[in-house]
Amino acid sequence: MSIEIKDLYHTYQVGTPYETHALQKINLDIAEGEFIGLIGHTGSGKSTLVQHLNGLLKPSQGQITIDGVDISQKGIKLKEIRKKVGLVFQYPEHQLFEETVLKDVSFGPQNLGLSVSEIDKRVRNALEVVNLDYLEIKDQSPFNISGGQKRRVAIAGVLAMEPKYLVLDEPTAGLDPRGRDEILAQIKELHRRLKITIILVSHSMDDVAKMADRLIVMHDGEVELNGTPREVFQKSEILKAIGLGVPTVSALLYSLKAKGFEVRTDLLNMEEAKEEIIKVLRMRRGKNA
Amino acid sequence: MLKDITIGQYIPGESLIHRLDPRTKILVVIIYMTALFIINNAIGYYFILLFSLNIILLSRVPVKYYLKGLKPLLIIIILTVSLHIFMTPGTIIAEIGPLAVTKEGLKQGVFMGTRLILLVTVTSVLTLTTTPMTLTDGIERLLNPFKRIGVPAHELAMMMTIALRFIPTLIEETDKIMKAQMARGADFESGNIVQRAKALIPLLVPLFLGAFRRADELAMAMEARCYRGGENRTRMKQLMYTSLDTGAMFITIIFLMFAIYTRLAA
Repeated sequence: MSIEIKDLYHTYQVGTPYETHALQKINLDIAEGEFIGLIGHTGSGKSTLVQHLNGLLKPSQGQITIDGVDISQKGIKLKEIRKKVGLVFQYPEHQLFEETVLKDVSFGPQNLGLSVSEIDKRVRNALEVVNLDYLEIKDQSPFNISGGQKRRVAIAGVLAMEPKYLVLDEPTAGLDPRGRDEILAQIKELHRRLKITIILVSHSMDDVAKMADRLIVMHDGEVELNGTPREVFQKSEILKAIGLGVPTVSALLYSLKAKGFEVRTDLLNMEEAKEEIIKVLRMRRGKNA
Repeated sequence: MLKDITIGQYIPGESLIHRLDPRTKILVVIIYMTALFIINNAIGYYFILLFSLNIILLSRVPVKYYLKGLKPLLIIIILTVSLHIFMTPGTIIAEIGPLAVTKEGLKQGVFMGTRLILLVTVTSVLTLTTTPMTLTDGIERLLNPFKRIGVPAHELAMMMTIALRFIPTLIEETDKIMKAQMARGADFESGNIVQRAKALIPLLVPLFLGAFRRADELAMAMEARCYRGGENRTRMKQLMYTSLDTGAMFITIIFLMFAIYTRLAA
C-alpha cells in the first residue's frame, strides 16, 4: 500500500493574467512506513503538493492513487481519504476554535462519526503522544495556553483521527529551539512506535537530514532531487544553485575539503563527522612525521 | 466559490485609460452617470452606447471581465426590464395571458436595461483599470476641499485602503482555515440550513480571532512608524494631471452637454 503520484500538474487562476504553474510533471511513490522529508523554498510548490494528498486540491492534470484508490476521480469519498491522510497545516494553532482543548481535539474523530468511548480513547492517546497531560489540559481553553502547547494541541487534533499517512507542513515554524526539538522528537517517535508514514515539509536542511529516510527536493514546482539524505547532500552544487544549501555538518565537511583536507562529504551527523575529521588529522600527522 | 469575488480586481495594463489620473476617472464616471440619467430618447442612447464602447475598447481589458462583473446583476436587470415591459400603461402590441406588452413599456424596458448595464460596465472600467490604492488616493484628494466642513477625508481613505488591502488576505485566510478544518473531516457543503450554519463555527471563530490579531498588529506597526493621521503627511507618489486628463475631461464635458441637448431637443 502506498501513495502514488503520476504526472501531476497544478495551475492556479487559469485564464487570468495571474496564472501560475504551481506544480509540473510530479512523479512520486511514497511507500508505507517511510519517513520523507519534503524540502523546498517558499513558492516551490511543496504546500500545493501536500494539499493534493488528501483531496483538498484537485490536480489540473495527472493522477494520485492512495492505497489503490484514485482520489482525483469524481464521486470519491473524501472523508475516507482524509481519515487516511492526516494533514497538519502551517501554524496549525490558528485553526483552534473550541472552548476546551478536549472538545477541540475531539472535533476530527467526531466528524468521522466514532463512538463516544472511541473518541475519548483517541483524544487521550493523541494528547499523550504530543506530551501533554490529559487531565491537566483537557478543560483549559485552547486560547489560554502557551504557543508551544497550542501547536501541540493542534497536532493532536489531527493525530486523534489516527491517520495512516501523516503530512506535517513546517510543524516547527515560529517555535523556539526547545519547542522545535520537542516537536521533532515526538514526530520521530510517532514514526518509530506507531509506524505511521510521515511526510515532513520543511525548509530546514538540518531538521530533515537527521530524521528522514528519503528527501524530496522541490524547486519551481518540480521535483529536483529525490533520494536518501546522503545522496541528496552529495549534490551540494544543485542545492546551492536553488538556494537551499546543505546541513551544517555537510557544510563543514565541504569547506574542510575545499581547504585541502581529504574528508568524506557524505556524512550527516556530528558524531560521524567528528570521527572522520580526527581520522584525517591523524593521517596527516603520520605523513608529516 | 471564493474565487468569484472581484471587488478591487485590477487588470494590469498600459492603456490610455490606465494612465489617466484616478481623480479624472472618478469625475468622468460621475459625469457619465449624470448624463446616463439625463438621456431619455433613442438618439441619446445611441450616442452614449458609442461613447461607452469606445471607453471599453480603449481600456484594453478583455471583454470577459466586464461580462463577469455583470453576471451577479443579471437577475436584477431581467427583473427591472420585465417590470417595465409589462407594467407600463400605453398602446398594447402583444398579449401573453394576463400580461400585456405595451409599446411604451418595451421602449422603457430596453432603455432601463441599457442604463443598468452601462452603469455597471463603465464603473467596472474604473475599478479594472485603477489599483485600489490609487483609487483611494484619488478619493482622498477629491474629498480634501470638504475637510473644512468636517469630512474626515484622510481617515475615510485610510480605512478604505486598509479594508481593500485586507480583502485578499482574509480570503486567503478563510481558504486556509476551511482547508485545515476539512482536513479534520469538517463538512461545509452538505446538510440542512441549521447544520450548515453550525458547520461554520469552526471557520468563523479562528477567522475573527485572526482578523483581530491582524488589526492589533497593524495598529502597532503603524504607530511604531509614527502614524498620526493625515496632518502634514506627505506622499511618495504625487498625483498629477497631464494633458491626457485635460483631454479626457474636455471630451466628457462635451458629451454631457450633448446629452442635455438631446433631451431638450426632443
